[in-house]
Amino acid sequence: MNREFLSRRQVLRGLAATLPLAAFGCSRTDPNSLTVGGLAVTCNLTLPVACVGKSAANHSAPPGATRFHYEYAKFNGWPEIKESLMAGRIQAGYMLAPLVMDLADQGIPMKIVSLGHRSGAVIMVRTESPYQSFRQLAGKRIAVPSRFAVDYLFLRRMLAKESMRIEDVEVVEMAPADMPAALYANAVDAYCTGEPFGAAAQVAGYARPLRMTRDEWPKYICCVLTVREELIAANAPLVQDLVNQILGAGLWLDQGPAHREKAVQIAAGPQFFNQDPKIIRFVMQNPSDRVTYGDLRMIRSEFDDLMQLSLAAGTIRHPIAYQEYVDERFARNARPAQIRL
Amino acid sequence: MHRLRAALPSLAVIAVLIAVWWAAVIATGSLIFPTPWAVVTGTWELIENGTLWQHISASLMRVLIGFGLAACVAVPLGLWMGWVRGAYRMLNPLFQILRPISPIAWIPIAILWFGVGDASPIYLIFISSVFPMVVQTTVGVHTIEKRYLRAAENFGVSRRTLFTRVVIPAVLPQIVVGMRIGLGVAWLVVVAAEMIALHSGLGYMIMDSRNAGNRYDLVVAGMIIIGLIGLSLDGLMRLLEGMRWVRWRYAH
Repeated sequence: MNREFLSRRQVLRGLAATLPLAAFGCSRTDPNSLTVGGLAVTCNLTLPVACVGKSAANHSAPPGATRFHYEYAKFNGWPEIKESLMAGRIQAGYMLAPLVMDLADQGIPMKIVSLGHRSGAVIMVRTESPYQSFRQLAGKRIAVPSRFAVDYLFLRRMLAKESMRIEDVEVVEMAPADMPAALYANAVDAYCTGEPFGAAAQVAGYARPLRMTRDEWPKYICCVLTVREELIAANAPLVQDLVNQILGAGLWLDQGPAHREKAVQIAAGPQFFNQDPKIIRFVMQNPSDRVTYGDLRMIRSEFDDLMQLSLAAGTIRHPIAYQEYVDERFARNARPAQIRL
Repeated sequence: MHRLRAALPSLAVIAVLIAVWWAAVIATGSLIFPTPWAVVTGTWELIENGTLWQHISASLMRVLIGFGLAACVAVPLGLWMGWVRGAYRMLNPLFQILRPISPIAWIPIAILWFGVGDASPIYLIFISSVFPMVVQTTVGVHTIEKRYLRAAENFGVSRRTLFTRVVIPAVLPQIVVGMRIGLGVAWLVVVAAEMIALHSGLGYMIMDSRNAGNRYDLVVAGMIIIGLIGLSLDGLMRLLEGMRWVRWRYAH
């Protein structure tokens, strides 16, 4: 009896001890600090650069100035980022543009506030394969990350350009990280995805790009900075500053090889992509416009194009108005930050 | 009537759980979490367009092939390891090392070895269910009551007859238990295994619905269907346990 009482008392004491901790956990969230979700892909590279750039700027800011702080949270796939954003576990993240259209249309309170990159998707084939033109892929098995990924829209655009139909190829869906191995094992004839998964196979020596968005669709957009509407309502200056940092990071990244090399060092680190710097460097240099970051203007007609392609692909059911999923004011008022790294 | 009455408490618990789920979704006004009704309409959508049967039959086919191959390998191997001490010493450490590795960790290797067709998911199901069955069969041989073996020895039977007439019948109940565990594990890993499936399967359906925008009704539908089929598969395996050549074990 006595023992039971003691154990219960111990439990209560334990609970009492954890309560202040829980309260501390809640109060600890700094309103000027934001976690931004992203994937370890070069389309998301502006994010690590913006995080590190902001941190450096905070050090040299005059005392008393507002210091926003951004933290990069690495996710393993789009569904995980999407679910975290939908549930409000994170307030901001890089997302696939058509997915945001669909979710905003379904009443999930989120808006696109900036682009994250342009170009950066490739269609890879084995080095010794006979394929020289896209048309030769007729009847072949091509991997895409999913039907909801923009890479799939790239593939569909290439098919349309060659007057081919989607039935003319066998599309299979798999995680981009598995694609190089699948190509190596001849399980697929080609794959279409975002970098660095093309470069990974190219650096290893068994694959070459058949087509790149660089040549076929230089204005290609897949990852866009998306924030929840609560964050816009609660702290619009922070969202504005984040957009400024992303745009600044984009300009900085396109200012020559020295900046690209610095970005490789940052992104390869364990708190960001945790990848082999050789592969990221390859994407940055071969050629230097394999992915671009300098032009992050949001252009309505480009989003409309993406929407039409998604409609044709059946991944969006009906047209969605631009203002439903984009909040343009941050891009309109943007003043790209100076990145000093 | 009697069986229905016996099932009442469990049905009541499930009904309460569904009611709580429904109330919670309505109370929180969640845009994401589906109501039970949304799951029903989502499932109906799949039934109407015919894809549900396609997913179910693809998953069942993969699981039955993977499990069937695993049983064909595991039962003889387990008997051998149980009966021959040297085999046990040689193989047991390796199997104990391989046993706890999740099928998800095997995915990259499965793609390299088997590509992205049906063979990869079947391999993942095989590798997950083979070890529990080997272990259970081996344990079965090791725990045969010594008096059966001694009694047989007193009759002067050969080692071969001892194995076929005493050991195998004695181990059968354990083999069936192992198969029941193995099939349970095989079905348990179907979602992980079908992460690399191409176009079909309940695991594929769940992954695909996650990739789609807000189709969590289909994710939950897939989970419930997996649960219900798992229950039926376990029921079938329990029928095996009721067979005469197995039941002697439970009569004690």
